[in-house]
Amino acid sequence: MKKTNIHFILFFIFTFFALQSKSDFSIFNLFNTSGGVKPVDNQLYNEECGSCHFAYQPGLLPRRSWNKLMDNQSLKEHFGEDISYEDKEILTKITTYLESNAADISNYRRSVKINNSIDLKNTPIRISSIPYIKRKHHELPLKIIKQEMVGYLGNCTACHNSAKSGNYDEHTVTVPNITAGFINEELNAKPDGYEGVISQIGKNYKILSTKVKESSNSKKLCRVVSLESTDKYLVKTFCKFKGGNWF
Amino acid sequence: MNNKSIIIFIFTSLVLKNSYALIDFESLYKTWGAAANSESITIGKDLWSKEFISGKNCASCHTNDLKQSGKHLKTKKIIKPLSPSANKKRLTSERKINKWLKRNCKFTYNRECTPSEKVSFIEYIRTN
Repeated sequence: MKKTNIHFILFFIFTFFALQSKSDFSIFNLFNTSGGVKPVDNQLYNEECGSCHFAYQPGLLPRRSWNKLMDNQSLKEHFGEDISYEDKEILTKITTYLESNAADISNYRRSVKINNSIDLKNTPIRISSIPYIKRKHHELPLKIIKQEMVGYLGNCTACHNSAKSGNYDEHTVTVPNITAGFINEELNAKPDGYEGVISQIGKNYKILSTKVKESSNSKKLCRVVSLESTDKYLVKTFCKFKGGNWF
Repeated sequence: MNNKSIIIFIFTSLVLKNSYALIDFESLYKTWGAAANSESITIGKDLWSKEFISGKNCASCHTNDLKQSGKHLKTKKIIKPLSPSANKKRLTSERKINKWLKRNCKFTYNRECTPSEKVSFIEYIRTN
């Protein structure tokens, strides 16, 4: 009788954990963390802050940083601009949202890494000054960041195609091609056979052909361009994913 | 209330809910202590490309065609068209009009705009 009971209990425990590991709302989530950072899920923040710049996820900075940034006095000098609030209610709502989803509160994998890299004595107000973020971008040459299509390190979406959904995975990155950036509009809109000049580098070019390249899980649009150098013609292929940049 | 009037009532409230609020511009201008006149639109158009700080005017971010998308000078974020004919959400909230006029005047002119400048801008945006 006793032996049957133990078998019964063991079977029950085993089934419970087996089912739990398959479920989205599993107790394992308490120990396990999700990847990336939590996507923005606040309409007010999206509208108020996201109309001027990328709506940086709250999980990209610790609570103390948001607290410092969102103080109405510091918003008078928000990276050189006065964006202080008259409507304190809105300001409080946004600040509460940012603080309660901050990097030191979130259990998303990248938020945890960000937070762990910051010395407790420091309160960074630039995401680009966070040691983890700096380390992840240190290989990028300055000319890549300074190019027209990017401009500054805080322009996340210029390269991170899935930044909006909180996914900063390396596989989702396409760094815009500097040369392609000079003829971005033309690559988007002009037909095959179009000829023009890239004034920045003093080269004539011609768009030769257009094709769609498909692989198992992605589809990209490519354009073949001939660039005229002093002594030779160079043929380059620029591609882009839907909604992304030419690379 | 009979069935018919209930249906009409529900239908009207649905229509009203889905359409964007209409702004009484005349009374909005009054709260600034100004009023539109026959010159406002042309003054607004001139101001649009005028630089009080070198290298910065309204068109720097919003372009000269209000029906086109623009790009923030500093952050490079895409700004949707300002013209209500191209973007139905524009000029539908007094709070937003006041907020953006204050912010963007400070950004572009380093000062707040005068009431008559504000009227000219809104009149110009409304009609383009």
